[in-house]
Amino acid sequence: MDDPAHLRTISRLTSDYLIGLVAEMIRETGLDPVDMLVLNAIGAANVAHLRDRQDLTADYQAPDAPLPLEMKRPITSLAIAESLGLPRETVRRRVAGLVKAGQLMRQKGGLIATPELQNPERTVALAFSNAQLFRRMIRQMRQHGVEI
Amino acid sequence: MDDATNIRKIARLTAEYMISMVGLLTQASGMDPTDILILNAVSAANVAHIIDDPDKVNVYWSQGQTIPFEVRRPITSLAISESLGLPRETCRRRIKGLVEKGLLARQPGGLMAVHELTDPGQLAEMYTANVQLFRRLVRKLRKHGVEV
Repeated sequence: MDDPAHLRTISRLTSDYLIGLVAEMIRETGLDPVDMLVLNAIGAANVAHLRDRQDLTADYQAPDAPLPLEMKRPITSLAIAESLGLPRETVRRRVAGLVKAGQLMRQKGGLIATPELQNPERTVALAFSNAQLFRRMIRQMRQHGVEI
Repeated sequence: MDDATNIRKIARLTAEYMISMVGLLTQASGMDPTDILILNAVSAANVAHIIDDPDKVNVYWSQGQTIPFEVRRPITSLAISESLGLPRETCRRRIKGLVEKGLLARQPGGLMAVHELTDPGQLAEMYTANVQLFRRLVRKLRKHGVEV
């Protein structure tokens, strides 16, 4: 359990990290924050069932070797609205825009995020910046005396 | 330096963390994600000059105190729009709404986030929930073989 001082440190530094990451994503993709959030939530839900299946994903670990679409599991717009705490209608509207922009695909059973098909270099570059921002946050936490 | 596999794992697991955190914030505050982003960016900018220096900030945090408002620095709407990569007009409109709700205050030199004053109890709950999610993220990264 973290003491109250560390709760503040961690919250401030994770918040800096998230803000930096979102800003980077906005700049790289030109997407609005809500669209980005919806797109990322769908992308994460599509592969959540594979998280602990390194036996299945071993061939696709490199950032430039995206998972084949067949391995992804579609998710409904309603499930995304619930997980993000956003109004259903907002999510439905945003999803329609993202499908039109080619960032999402409608499939039987729901939606699949496909940003890496659209722009694989950008996806790799963002994953790279994210890892750097994450490492910086961990370094800062240690400097502030937080045990990781 | 992280290899390609680690970068991918960090990207996936931090995305889950970000989505859970935003879900928590939208549900707890009833705010739209873009407003949450702007409010947090203002708040982070107000204290960035103090947090960058562990010695300075620990004067407050080790006593369990928040950083006093007298030592925080206001930030302009323009600087926020540049740092987030959001259109100026979007930021200006959102900020106006946040000021009306009493979450941001206009001061000489720019904006100050004052949401901590509106509901300190809720903020403390968010800190605790965030730290739990962050600790879980670190555990998951380690479980997947990423050194942290």
